[in-house]
Amino acid sequence: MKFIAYGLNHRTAPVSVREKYALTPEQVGEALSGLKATAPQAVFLSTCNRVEFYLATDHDQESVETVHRFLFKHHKLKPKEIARYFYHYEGPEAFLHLFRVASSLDSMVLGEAQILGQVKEAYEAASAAGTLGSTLNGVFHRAFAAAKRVRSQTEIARMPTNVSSVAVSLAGKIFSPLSERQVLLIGAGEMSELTAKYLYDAGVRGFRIANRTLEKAKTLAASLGGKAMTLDEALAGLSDVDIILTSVAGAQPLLTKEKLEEAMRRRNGNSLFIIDTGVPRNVEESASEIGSLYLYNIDDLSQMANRNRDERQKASQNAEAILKEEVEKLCSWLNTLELVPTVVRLREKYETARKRELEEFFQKNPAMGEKERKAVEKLTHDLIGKLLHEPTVNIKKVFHETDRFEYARMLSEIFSLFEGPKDE
Amino acid sequence: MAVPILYAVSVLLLGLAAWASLHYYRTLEETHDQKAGNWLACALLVQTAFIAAQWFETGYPPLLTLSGILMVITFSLGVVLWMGRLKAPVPLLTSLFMPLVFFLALMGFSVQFKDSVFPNPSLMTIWMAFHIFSIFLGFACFTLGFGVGLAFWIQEGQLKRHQVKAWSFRLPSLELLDRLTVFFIGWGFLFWAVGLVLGTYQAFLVWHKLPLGDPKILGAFLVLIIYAGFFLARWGFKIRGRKTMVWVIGGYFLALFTFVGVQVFLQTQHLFWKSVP
Repeated sequence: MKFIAYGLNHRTAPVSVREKYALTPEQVGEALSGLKATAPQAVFLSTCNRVEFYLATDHDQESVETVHRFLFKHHKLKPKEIARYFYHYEGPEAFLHLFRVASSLDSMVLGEAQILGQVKEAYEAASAAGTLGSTLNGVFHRAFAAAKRVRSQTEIARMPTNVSSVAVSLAGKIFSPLSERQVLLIGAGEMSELTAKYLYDAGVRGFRIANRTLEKAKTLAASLGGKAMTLDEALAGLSDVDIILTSVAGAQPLLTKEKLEEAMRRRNGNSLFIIDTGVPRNVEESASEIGSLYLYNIDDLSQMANRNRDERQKASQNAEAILKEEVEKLCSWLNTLELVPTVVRLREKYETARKRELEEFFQKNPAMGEKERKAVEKLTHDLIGKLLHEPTVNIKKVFHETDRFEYARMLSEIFSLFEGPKDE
Repeated sequence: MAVPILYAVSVLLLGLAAWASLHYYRTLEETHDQKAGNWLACALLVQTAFIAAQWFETGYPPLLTLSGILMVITFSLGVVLWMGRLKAPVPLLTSLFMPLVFFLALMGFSVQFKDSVFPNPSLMTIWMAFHIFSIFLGFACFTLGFGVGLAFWIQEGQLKRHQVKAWSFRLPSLELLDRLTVFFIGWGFLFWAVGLVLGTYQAFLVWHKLPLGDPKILGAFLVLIIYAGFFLARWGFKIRGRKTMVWVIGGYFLALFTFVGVQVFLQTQHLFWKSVP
């Protein structure tokens, strides 16, 4: 049985092609049912960045043709386009591809968390459609385990790569728990609003929103469950907040070093985190000299996001090494699976021969007592077990695929394992 | 016979705790940290049994041999680490300190139960034992306080410079590190002060004068002053952040010198090693 990964993704095909194959759950079910005849084990993964079939089949060519027939019902491609857009991986290459996809090493944004959930959904859809056989089940479980290992043992998913989540993760590096913090939003810039929403998702509930136009502040306060106030009120209560997101227009800085020093004194030196996304900046640069005050502007956050992207890139090398190791483990597991029928048949053959010989022996020696019979039966049973132990263990150790099949073939031929019973 | 077996079992349990905590560091799976905590708790129970058995057997706590002392040091570190775990769940702290605890316990095991280090039989009182225990616990608290304070120092510097490194995403927030530092230094201050009073009183009973020239007592006293400065800066002058961590780090180096340095370089100056008049 061959394992195949076949499809297209954001690297090989433009969005104008990918969007044609964005299918509904019903269409996915239809696709999997259509494949049952040629590929009884199939998983179909469809996201905005990829359309992929994972197949475990004995008829690879027919399976791929069925996939084509199904996909081309939605959008027909010329042979040249097929060659350009589609990739086809088999065996260890296909495993590695699936593992890379699940671990988000093949994603547009390296290390993003969403893809693992999407692969799990595809797996569940296949399970519901009845196209998840034991091989694919094992392969996908190993893909999930590999993805988990990559996420926990490398830095690939630890460092945020968009500006707003960088700001939230920095807040988490300063305060804990984040949910008990008071956040002041000065001005209603797009960046500040987005960061406030990220903070809300992180559990923060204490929002104060100040704006030159009170009505606008009230609208945002309603969406965040916060309190709207005027700019003056906000500036008077600086010492009561832990995080300030500021983004107002104005030639002069709104928050001077003096004002912030005063606020810090009243805060008893407790930390204050300021994210200044205003251009021109709303906070005097020298304010960052104040102890326990952490001031970040939009450039600082962007630089951090870029650095984090580089870090993820570096971490992906470690992740690739982990995945190679996991693919090797998977291959050895599959090797043993493929050899199981041969080994089982070999043992069955010996067992049948043993029983037949014993029967003849007992018929020729009817005077034999029950105790002796049992002793002879145990002796022959143990003898067969010992004789077959080493070949069974050694054949499972054969790693290389070609060698493995050759060993299995030779065993089958030498011992006539898969032939029908011969007339005696 | 029971005593060496208890020692060996406790070393084994500490080894398992260290292994689990390192496994946590590698995988970041919390179950490994929980395992490390469970093994540590078991090790502490066995160590308590070891100390009690040794006390019962020799009539004095295991402070007469180098291996016994190393066991008490690891016991102190383990107890303080456990206290820290109860205060706030920071698995990284266990990952960093557990291997050290195991290493010290292993060293104690390798030197076996010999080489008496108690030169003055007249000092072998129960209060002297409490003095040593208290100082060991205080030093363990300062050690963990130093570790946490150093982590705060590094992380705070990175946040100020806008240079947060990938590895530091494993560290908890500054606020939590600050709380833990205060916790460890507070307990350390208490244990150290009690130990200092008991030690000074013992010396007074034996030599009939205050041991003002003893470098250990002077150093220990200075350590208390530095840490008192730390609390004064925080609660009196409301100074927070990196500036207060200077006191923690500086105080620890002095405590380290008092605890180990005097033993190595100025051993003959410590009254403990002098003959009783």
